[in-house]
Amino acid sequence: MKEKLKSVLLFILVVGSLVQTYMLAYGKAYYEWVEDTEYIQPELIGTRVEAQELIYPNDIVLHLGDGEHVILHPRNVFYKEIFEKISVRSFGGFREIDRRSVDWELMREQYRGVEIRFDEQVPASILNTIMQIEGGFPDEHETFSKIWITTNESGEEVRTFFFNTQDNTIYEVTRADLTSKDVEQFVGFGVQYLPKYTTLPVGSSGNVLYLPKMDLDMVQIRLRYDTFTAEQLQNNLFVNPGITRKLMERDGTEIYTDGKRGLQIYHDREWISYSDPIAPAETATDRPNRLLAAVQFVNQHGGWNGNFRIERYATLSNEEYIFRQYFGQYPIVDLHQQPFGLIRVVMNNDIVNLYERSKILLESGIAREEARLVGGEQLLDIVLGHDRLVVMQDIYPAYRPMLHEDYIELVPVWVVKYTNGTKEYLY
Amino acid sequence: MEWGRAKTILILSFLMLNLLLGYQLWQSKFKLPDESTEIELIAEEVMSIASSKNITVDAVIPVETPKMNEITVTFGEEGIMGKQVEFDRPIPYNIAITGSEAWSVLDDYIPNVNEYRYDPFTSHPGVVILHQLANGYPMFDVRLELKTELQQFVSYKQNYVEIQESDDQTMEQKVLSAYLAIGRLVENYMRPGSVITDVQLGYHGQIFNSETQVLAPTWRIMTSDNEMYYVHAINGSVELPTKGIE
Repeated sequence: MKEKLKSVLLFILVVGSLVQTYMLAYGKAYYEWVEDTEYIQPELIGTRVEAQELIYPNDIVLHLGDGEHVILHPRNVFYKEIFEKISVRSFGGFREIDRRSVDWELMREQYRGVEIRFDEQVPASILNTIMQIEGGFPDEHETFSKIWITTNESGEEVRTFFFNTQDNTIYEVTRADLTSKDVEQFVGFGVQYLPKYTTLPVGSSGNVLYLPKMDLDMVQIRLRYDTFTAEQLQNNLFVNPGITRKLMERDGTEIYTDGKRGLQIYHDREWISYSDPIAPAETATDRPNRLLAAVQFVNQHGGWNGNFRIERYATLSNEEYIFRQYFGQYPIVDLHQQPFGLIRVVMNNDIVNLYERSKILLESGIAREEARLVGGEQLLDIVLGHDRLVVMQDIYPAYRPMLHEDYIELVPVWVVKYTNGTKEYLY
Repeated sequence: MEWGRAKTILILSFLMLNLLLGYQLWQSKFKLPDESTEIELIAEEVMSIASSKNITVDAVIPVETPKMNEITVTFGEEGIMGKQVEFDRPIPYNIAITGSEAWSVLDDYIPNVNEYRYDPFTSHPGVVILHQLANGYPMFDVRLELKTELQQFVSYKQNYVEIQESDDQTMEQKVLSAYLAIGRLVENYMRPGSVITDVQLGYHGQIFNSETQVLAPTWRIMTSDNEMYYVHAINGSVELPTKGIE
């Protein structure tokens, strides 16, 4: 009898321990299970680049003397050679000089030299990352848009100037290891090069336009394209795509939002705008690191899929970066509000608040034909007859993209940039 | 017989095992979810960080952490978007009354006025601001603005949205406690010397040029220099502060 009771007791205890173990393992009623959300790799097919690969000048002007000039564009073999050489040579001992102490016109037209021109102002700290600046710049907040390396009349002495065109400040470099032989070599590249350019002074600030003496050989090309899908973008840009909601606009614009971040897709222009009003923490990062953060963001959210150059660097008051796409040697310039060929990133410290770009990915070409951009007398006449000639800052060859149903066409065109920063096609 | 002894040993060891498991169960059921002490701990820590940065809290801090979710609202159909109306005759009001009865005088003039709540922190001389409520919480972007002159309402500008039925109740999550939201701010975002004047839970979202909007549960934290911080009440991300209502 006693043994039987013990058996029952043992049985109850065994069952009891099993039940309690089960309850301990699965019965944690007090922990809330947050819905598991599918983690999706934030990759969106696209090529990655390093920030350095996006920092290069707009063009390099070779002054051959005797009023002749040659303009080299990115990815031209001479351009690459010159830029590479200059980026390993050291510059130091910056000294601010008076603008009037040098005869710039004489230097440009008669002396041999090289002018390296950026589109807009490049912050000193950024320039420092692609050039060898000995002892740093006089002011870390300085910005530059032009570097001019020139020889004198005899061709023996070399002088180097850094320009801040915006504030009209000019520095002369007192220590540089570039020799007159280097400059001669650079200029030598241009001797056989065609077309040659002449200058046309405009306005009263000493600015000149460079115009080719003959037509410019270019190509007109049709390319197939693909686009990012809404789903790819949604998965890529939202941490938790599961909770984003889709809103439909009357005009066909799609909006994806989780109440905080927003992605707007404009289908007619294949354009996207992603905004996240997130605030950065108080600790400030320096400019090169902010640029890295911006480039990194694009790397992770769509990539580049082509050659880009930084056209606008963030300033102290406006943290906007603009990246411009190239086709071959020339930039793609679309004057539409939602342009193809441009990526815009607005930062706040090291946080991206706004990311806008085209969702078009260029693919293989389907047709290619020779094309010419008018030069010589004909171009000169057009420019001289232009009613806004005095406010022209620059004129350069570019491709104008034409969006079609299933292909994109790149049409060579002259682009005029005005002193207020606006652009226009020249016909 | 040996079997009897073995059983006794087994009974004793299982009894001990049961006791141990029982204690663990009791602990997990009754000890762990002591949320109030947890909140107290967080509160203490946040306040000490705040005081070390010379940030003072001069506001009633809500202790609630309800389950909330993003809501979808629409200006379409029944909604009203920025309708501006001038009263035919100014309507007198008593500044001393701030409860719901204060707005009852407007019942006849403004549609759905009882669905709004007065916000003394964004209201300023000449403009009284009310927010439309959703599930009892203010939607900070959906406002009714009353213009006043000499203790009279003279005109109003109304936004009114229709709240769409939430399709997914299971997605609801417990919001972060107000202290955690404040903690985020004092640690990384607020300037030393700031004074927090108001902490409120509500809905806020990025407003698009669209009929439908999505609003997320958000803590709104205001400072004495009229800076308004929005902290996402679920993921804790902080938005760029704005200066009051533009």
